[in-house]
Amino acid sequence: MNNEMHDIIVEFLAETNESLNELDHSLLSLEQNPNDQQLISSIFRVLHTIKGTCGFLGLARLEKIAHKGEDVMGLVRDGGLAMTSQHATVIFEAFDTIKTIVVSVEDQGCEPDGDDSVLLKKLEDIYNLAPQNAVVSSPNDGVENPILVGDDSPEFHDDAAFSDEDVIITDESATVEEKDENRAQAFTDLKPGSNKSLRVSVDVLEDLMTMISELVLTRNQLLQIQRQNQGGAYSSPLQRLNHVVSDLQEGVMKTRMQPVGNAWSKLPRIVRDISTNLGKNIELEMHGQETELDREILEMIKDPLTHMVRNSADHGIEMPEQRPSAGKPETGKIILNAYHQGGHIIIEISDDGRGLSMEKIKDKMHKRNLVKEEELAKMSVQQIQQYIFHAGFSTAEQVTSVSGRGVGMDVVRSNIEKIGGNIDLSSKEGEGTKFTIKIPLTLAIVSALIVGVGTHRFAIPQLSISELVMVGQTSGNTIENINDAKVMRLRDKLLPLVTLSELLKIEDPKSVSDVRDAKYVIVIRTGTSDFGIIVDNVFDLEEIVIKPLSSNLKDLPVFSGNTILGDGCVIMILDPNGIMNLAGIQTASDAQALSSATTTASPEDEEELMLLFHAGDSTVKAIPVDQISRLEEIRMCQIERSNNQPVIQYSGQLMPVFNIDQDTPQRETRPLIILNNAGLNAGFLVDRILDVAEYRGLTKRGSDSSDAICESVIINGRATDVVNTHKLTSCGIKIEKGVLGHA
Amino acid sequence: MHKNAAKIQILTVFLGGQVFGIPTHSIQDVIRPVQMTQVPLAPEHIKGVSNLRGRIMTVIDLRERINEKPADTQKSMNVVVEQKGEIYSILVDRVGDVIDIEDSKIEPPPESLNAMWRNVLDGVYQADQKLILILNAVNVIESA
Repeated sequence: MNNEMHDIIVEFLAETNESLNELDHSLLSLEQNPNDQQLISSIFRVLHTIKGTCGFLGLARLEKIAHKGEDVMGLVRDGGLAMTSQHATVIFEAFDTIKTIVVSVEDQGCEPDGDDSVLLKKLEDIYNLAPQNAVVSSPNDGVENPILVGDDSPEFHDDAAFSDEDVIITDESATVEEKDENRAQAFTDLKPGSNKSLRVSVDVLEDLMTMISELVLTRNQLLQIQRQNQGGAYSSPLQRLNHVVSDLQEGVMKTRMQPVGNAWSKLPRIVRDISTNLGKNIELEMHGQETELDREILEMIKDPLTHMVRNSADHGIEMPEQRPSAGKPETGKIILNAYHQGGHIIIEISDDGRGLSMEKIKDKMHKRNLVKEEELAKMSVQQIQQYIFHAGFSTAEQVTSVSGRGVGMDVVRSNIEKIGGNIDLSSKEGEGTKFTIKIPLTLAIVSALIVGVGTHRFAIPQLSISELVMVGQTSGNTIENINDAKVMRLRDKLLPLVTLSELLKIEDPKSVSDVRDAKYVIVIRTGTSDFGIIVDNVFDLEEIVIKPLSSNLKDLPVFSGNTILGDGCVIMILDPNGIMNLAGIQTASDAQALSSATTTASPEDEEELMLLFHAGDSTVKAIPVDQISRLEEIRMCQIERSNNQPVIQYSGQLMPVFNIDQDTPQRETRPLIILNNAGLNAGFLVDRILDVAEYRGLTKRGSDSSDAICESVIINGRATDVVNTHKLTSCGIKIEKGVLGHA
Repeated sequence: MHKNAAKIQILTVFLGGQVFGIPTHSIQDVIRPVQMTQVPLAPEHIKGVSNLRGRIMTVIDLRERINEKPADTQKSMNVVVEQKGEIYSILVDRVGDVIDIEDSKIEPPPESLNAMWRNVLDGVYQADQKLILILNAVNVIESA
């Protein structure tokens, strides 16, 4: 019996949590559409179920609140009471109390002590003061109000006998059917596809995932052996195993995926509360809720997201009376947007509020002695804005009840970096702020670059690597020493360097002792600054399964975990932030102080990296690097035609290919630039990739111009045509001959 | 499993001339020398990490753990123990037998013993010929 009871409670908690989450949405919409019968019914229904179940389980506090709430909602449903903002607030309060109690039932197995009389009184007051209350003789008859006769919304008979039964069969419509055909009909309408899904414990999925990870590793090992002994009888079954394992991996990953909207579900409520508290008008727009990501990651970004939305609502959006003078509508807007981009998820949080105040940030930097006056003068707007990610840096003048609790953007950033993501911001004073978060799809398997120092090998997560530079006497790049610190000049900027063998105290005769002979610099981009790691060797990119460090190695900040490679060896995974801290590389300011001392960059223009290439004719062409998701080498025979448009199969989808020029000699393989514009992929075929160069002052990006070339500029002393990628990716017009042939 | 609750089983292992005993209930495996990856910046007694059938095992040199000369990792045997879901290998010179000892005859380690040693011991057991030092696997793993 005890066990049975326990199961019922667990089931009840899971269901209540689910319905409560749904309800937050319903209530918010109810405030806007007070007459939506369906919404009212669903709120009523949840309260009714909670009340009934709680009575059965002996949870008295919950039962009382749910009961009173149900009375009020019953009245609203029957037209006896109009839903107003004040009423909604009380109902919200009731739900909050229910939530708190449910949480503690979950944790402690019993209801916490507490006094709900104030809340109950409020609910009673609403109920008693309702104008039509006189018509409704008693709360229990409310449901039978004649106004609603004939309404096809689900009806509940609010008598004890029924609610007891309702408990035991909470979501089985079958038994109810026997009672009342019509009601059963209503029930089934409410539960579309209830047989098609089933509740599985997260532990089971986690175990499954671990096993799949092992399977993937074993498969990799097998494939590696297979590669070494070409051919053989195993080759075709291995190929099949390879495919099956990949599909299996994908399938299991899918079970862990959840729409990002789940992490957003509480936000409308938060924004509503803030706007009522502060007297602001704020509209929250959400796009791409259906974008899926790993539930583990979802959990980890929930709090940072909430914090940022809170910030936007609290500090970003101005008071309604201030906004018109800035030429903005009284109602402020916060927009959340999520989409996929090249194996990552991008989440944007933007508002049209007052933006970051440069003056306040500068002032704070002074007060905290973060930078010297002359350094500050040289810093670009963007670098100064980056300081909001510093610990204990809040520019809000007043600590309000909603934000400014010392948990600042630094925590947000470190949380996001913990899951291998990064965060960027752009803000214009008076116009608004936009945060862009880039996170991996899943934590379980990530792609990492394997590097070598002496006989040691390490993995660096690909997401933190921005580029790979070869150094040494033969290549153009050399490592220099400034006051014992190693630096490298990379496109007119000085990049601080860390020698991995020194940092990790690897004394190995094979390790390169003289830095002039060092071979590779891995350029790492962290939130605030770039730096390079000097390594001896660069091996493969590998898909790795991150395994946590054993507890007696957890104190080592330079490693974020370890993993087993395809060859069965264990290697350590480097943590770029840990390396930066251990090496004592400071954030943006230092690097900037160094570089501004040696370059004369005008900080106002935004610098842009451009990929230079040849396509069609001898003119150098360029595409901004941030519009490119990948470079591939493809065989010409891979190009197919669909609807008279050349296409190529790329990560399981058809992607249009542009600039197929029949005039150029048919080579077997050619470089293909994969463009990405707001989630849309397109391939751009070129003859030869030349270089990457920096350019300042690009004017019209993604303009509406219909020309294939959006502007011509001088890069590296040569006339260079900037390709209008916007046109290619957005309109998808049929271009069969080279767009650029004779541009 | 023991018919007589007062008896426990230990695996005897050798470190130089000294005999140690590890209770068998904490042992998962005894394996030959393994290929391992050194972990830079790790404490000295942690020799590295290794792949044991798809799980990552942390290798601890018992000699260095109790401040003795480092072991020859090429020859040492790995006594594999599991602790809080993680697996560890304790490196010893040689593995002896599994023997039953009487729980009541285990005495606390003598006060005169070096603190580093005392730290990893549960007690001492007087066997027929010599003293067996009973190791506490948890203390060996958790660094002081």
